[in-house]
Amino acid sequence: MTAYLIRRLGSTLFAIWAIATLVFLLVRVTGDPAVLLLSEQYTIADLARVRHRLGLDQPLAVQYARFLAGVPRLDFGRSYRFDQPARELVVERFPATLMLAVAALGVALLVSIPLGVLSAARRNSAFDVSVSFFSFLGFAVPTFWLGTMLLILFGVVLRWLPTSGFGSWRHLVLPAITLATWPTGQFTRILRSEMITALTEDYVRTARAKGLPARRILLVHTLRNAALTFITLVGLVFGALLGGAVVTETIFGWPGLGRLVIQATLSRDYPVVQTVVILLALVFVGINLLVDLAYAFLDPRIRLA
Amino acid sequence: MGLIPALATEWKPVGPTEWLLTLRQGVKFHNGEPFDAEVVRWNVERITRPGFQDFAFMTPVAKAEVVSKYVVKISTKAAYPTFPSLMTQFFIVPPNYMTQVGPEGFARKPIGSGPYKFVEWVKGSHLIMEANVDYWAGPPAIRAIIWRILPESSTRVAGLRAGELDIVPQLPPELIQTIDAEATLKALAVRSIRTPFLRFFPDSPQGGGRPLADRRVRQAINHAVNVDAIIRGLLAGQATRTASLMTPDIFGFDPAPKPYPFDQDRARALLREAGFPNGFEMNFETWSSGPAPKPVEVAQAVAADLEKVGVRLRVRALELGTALNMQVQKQLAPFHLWSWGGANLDCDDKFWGVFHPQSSSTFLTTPDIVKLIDEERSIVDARRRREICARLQRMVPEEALIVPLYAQHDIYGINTRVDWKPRSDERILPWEIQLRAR
Repeated sequence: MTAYLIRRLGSTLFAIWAIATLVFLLVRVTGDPAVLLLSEQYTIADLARVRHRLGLDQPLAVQYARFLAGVPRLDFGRSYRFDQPARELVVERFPATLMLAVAALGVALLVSIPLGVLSAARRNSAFDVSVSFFSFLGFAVPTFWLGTMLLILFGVVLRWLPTSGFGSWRHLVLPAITLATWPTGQFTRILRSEMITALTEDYVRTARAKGLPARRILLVHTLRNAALTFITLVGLVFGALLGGAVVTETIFGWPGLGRLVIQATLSRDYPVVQTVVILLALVFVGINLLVDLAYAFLDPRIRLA
Repeated sequence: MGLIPALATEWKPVGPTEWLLTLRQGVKFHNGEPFDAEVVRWNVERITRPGFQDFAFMTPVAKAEVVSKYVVKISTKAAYPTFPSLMTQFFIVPPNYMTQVGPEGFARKPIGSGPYKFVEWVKGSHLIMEANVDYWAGPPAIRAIIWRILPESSTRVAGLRAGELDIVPQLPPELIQTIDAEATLKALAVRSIRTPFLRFFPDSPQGGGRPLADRRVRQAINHAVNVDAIIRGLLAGQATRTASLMTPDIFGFDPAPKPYPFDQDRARALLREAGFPNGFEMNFETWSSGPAPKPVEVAQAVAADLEKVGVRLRVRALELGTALNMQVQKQLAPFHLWSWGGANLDCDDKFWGVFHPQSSSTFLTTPDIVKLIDEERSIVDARRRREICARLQRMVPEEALIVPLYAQHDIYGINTRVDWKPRSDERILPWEIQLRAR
């Protein structure tokens, strides 16, 4: 067990180092931030001064060494654009992102679990067909279109909810639904097919033969077995929601990480891009760990091995 | 547009590099600190300290001396005729507070002497400020202003229609009718000082630019582009054609020079004369999106016009940051779309920026033009400068150094409960806004 943990920790550290190095190199391929910081009217001498101030006139190896030395201390340098520690900027934005991702994931789970289970139980019924139709729709509809339609309907026409902004739970409703649509479709489809596979297993036949009630078979025997693949997917999607809500954030003026990292990329704010990417890598690693723990909880074979 | 006195009530040059500023009396910062000549001197010292001028805003300023309690003398490093305009960008901070909290503390909770006080800033979401009832010109009309950050234009329009927003900038021209159709909303357009243009770069490392070294070829291209059709067809009429980079809102504007007439026969004749009877081919770059409206569509329209006279463009759209990097490294295509705004409403800014070799935006110029710009920079006399600006406005089209396009119009949507006129410099100044009685 200890050997396993050490191996696992080692590979995690390696992955984070590799990601940090990759993002360090990639942002530098995209161009010089100094040009974007100056106003229109600048001379080559102004440019050289800014590059010196940002440390961009140092050899790449020196910049890399400084960057790597900072990572373990969680010092990612100062944002070029805000002249503020990059970590602070990211930490400021993270709660908004987390709130939106958790809300969207909650909505997706609340809708997809009953739908997925019921449509598997009533396979090929009219209910099942319409669930499949809507989950494909949810999966396929473009976020920017759905978001805009929702805000026009509920914000402009009905005036039930604010069109955009950040503050109360009312501001959260439309972005959370918009962001939840894609995972809801995805979750429902996967859960349905996993349930259908599990329902054909021998232990289900045995349970039926024993005379167990259908509900118990469905919710205890089948769902538990179908949950393994489902949880892996939920973990991956949650990571994606944390990093990839850019479109939803842009439409609803939500001050999350996605927009921060897009702006930072466009303005070549290397320290901020690096910080966000490393943070998201850490989050993915954490989620993977949680998924593994959930496996052990759900599947005694893993726990006992 | 002209300068309006605020913290300085009078300013006058005393010699080529020195300016005497008379300051307003009885002004206090939001924390109660008084404002006087010593405060200005301290602020000048602050911005001239090494490291501060890195970002090139206040580089011309050298030092300040207190003359009396409300008179201060500021010196520039060299003659700087647009000094009064530069001072509109010079923001005075309270010395004691700044010393006490440091730049980072100040950035979190800034304090000034203006009509509005800082309340809260949630980055990426909103900024709130409230009226300063002790403002020297009296309290502003509106008690609090909330600045919302909404990058998506359809969201901004939705917020306007829902009555959540009162003033919305940067509307695409095709939304004017949607806005005007609502009883409580109105679209307002204002001519901007930003002028998109097409730039020639005969020495482009991408090659293919040699024909552009011939003035006749550049003139031919000026004749071949149907700028009026672009304004009508792509911008819904929301732009004003210009003969150079100058617009009527800028100091030194001369209405005499006229844009090249659209004349493709003349263009073909000029190309023949220059030795290109069958035309030629070159790269053309534009932005995928940037400070000028519809850059890709405009580029395609230009390419279609030039195709008709035999100049075939290979159009490529660049992300703005990439384009800015390629500009400073002089890697852009021999012909490309660019734009120039300028910060100080003066012809100096426009001509220095695009035709002086020290500026990174200069790709083609002539020694005569450079000499004139240098001369204009060295004198303070407004009448003399106006003459030079007029000459520059004739010389640029004569040499066909660029293809000037238009001054774009900035379009705003407003709720009619608000009484406000948009400005040509893209700023929204809250103390210029009033609420209408309903």
